[in-house]
Amino acid sequence: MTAGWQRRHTVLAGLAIIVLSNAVVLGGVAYNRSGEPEATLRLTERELDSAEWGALQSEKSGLAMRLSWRTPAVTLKNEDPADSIDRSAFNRNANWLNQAKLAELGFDVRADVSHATDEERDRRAVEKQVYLVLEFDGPAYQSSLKWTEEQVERIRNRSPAARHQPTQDPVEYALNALERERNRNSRLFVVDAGLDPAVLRQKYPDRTRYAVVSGRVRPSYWRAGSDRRPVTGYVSAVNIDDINVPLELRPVFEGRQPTRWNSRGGDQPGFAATIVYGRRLEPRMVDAVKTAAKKP
Amino acid sequence: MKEPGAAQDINRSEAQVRVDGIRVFRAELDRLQHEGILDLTPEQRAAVTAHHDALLDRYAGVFDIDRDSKAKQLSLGMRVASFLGALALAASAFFLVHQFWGLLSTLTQVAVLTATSLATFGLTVFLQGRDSSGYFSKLAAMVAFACFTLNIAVFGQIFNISPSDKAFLPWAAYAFLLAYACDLRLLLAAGILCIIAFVAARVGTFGGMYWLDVGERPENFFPAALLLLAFPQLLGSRRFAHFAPVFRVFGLLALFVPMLVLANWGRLSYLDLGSGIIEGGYQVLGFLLCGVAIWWGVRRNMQDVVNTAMTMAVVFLYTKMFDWWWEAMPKYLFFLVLGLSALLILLILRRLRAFIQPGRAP
Repeated sequence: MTAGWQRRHTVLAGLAIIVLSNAVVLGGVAYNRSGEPEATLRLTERELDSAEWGALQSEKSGLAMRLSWRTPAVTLKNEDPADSIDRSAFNRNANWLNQAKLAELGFDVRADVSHATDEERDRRAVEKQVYLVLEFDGPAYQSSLKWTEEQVERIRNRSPAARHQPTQDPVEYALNALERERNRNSRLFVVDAGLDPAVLRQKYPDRTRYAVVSGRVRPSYWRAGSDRRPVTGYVSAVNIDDINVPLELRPVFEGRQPTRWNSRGGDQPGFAATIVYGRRLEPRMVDAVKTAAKKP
Repeated sequence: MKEPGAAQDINRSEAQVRVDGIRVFRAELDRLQHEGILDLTPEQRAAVTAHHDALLDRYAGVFDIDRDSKAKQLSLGMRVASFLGALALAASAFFLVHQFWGLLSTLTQVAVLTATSLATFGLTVFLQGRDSSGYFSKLAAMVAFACFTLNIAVFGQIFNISPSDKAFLPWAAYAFLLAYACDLRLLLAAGILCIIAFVAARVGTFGGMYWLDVGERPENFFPAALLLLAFPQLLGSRRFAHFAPVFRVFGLLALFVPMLVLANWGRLSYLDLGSGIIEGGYQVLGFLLCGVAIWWGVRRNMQDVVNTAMTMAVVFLYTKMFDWWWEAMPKYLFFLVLGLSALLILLILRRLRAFIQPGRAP
């Protein structure tokens, strides 16, 4: 090292780096867990899916559950209702993320004249970190249920010639989708976004139904047309959606398969887990119990 | 008065350079005497030989240096073994955590992670004081860095902590500390990569984007590149002169690789211009800066700068040729043009070498 730097300086510097780093991280955890929880949500197997998959799973002992969230369904002009239903279970586009909201979040909503196509503009758009409002089993879910029932009616009222799924009766398909919406799809919706979590909490005061979390959104130029301005946006991510399962709660989740890749996932036993969000909006699982899964 | 070349004044790398110089000097001296150009008296020869032998013995005792070319080849093998050993041990630590982690309580996990970081650091310091060759202490240093990185990363998973670019700071600090303490350029490179990641993430965040999306705007890497290129000029150390090329090479890569990306995908630029204009602009800028870097490297006798800039210039040229001609030409003709351009580059470099070495035939 430089002149005057001795071995004991190396020892002290190394110890300082290790101890300070661990102290800062653990101090942040303690701060997050201190005081009143920011939100407490009681989620089920519909909103929490196994996060474990991949080639190294057989040797992995750690367990995490992944939040399954979506945005309220968006009906696109001229879109087949069967396609709309398909998309709704995993929707990320948000009608509420309109130009005014995007501008409020700090996005540039002026016309992008430098690029020739909507596809180029869309690919150029970058996402921004914001605060999102997660709503559990609230008005957004009730609207989604009602919307799905309306799509089922639209499909029922179509002429037999207008079939979307040649291998399956479209009405049966739609009814299966309605059953999933009633019993299996997540009831956790992203319903709002902002730059100040305190302002969002004032707007959504119910801490057992709404959680303010950090996430990302990006503008979408899809179907911007001649206007060349972002029409809407989509919620690209909730920053922390994998939640570690503490050792004492593992028996509730052991052996579960991810339902998003497993059509038989609905046959697994149900559970209810309490997720608490702390002062730094970081979640933790505090309890979980097995329940009987709802039968269709 | 201190003896010149005293062992406490230099590190192992400098000692090895001196030993290699002594070997070359002895061979050249024999050649000159054989050709009748230089004839030392027996007393002079004995004095020089005694001085060099004493230096070699002292360096061998303190640093375990390679006294001849055979020892040097074996040392290379030991360095490779040390590197592979460190990789394997780090992978073993990772998979050990992967396999048994979930079976431990949270408190035990925290204790194990912190204790592992402290223990591997302690082992590194212990070996560094006793291992004159440096291979074992370097291996321990690489494992210590891997364990500390795992320490912070796994905390993030256990406690569901928001991902943050600030984690790169302690990783960089630790990597630099171990690199300088153990004279290990590989860890210096790891520290430099952490600094590049942190600076680019900060620049991206100031520009309004999420830090993990830093690659979506390659210009985020330019400030880090300038920082790395300036560092050896401003804060270089004679004792660690061999670290300066690492800073310069990574600085040049952090400058030229984003330019190469922007020269091909202009839509990724911060500039609010058409993609074609941006791509053309960065192509021209890339070639110009390669030329400037080559000139700078030749002028300041920095072989690392010349080699890096030359390589990037060739990559710029070949990617452009691919864009222009791959579809338009038959493949045999395309590769013929590539080969001829390589010959042209050779001719230009030969002219350049003759220019900077006057009196030598081109």
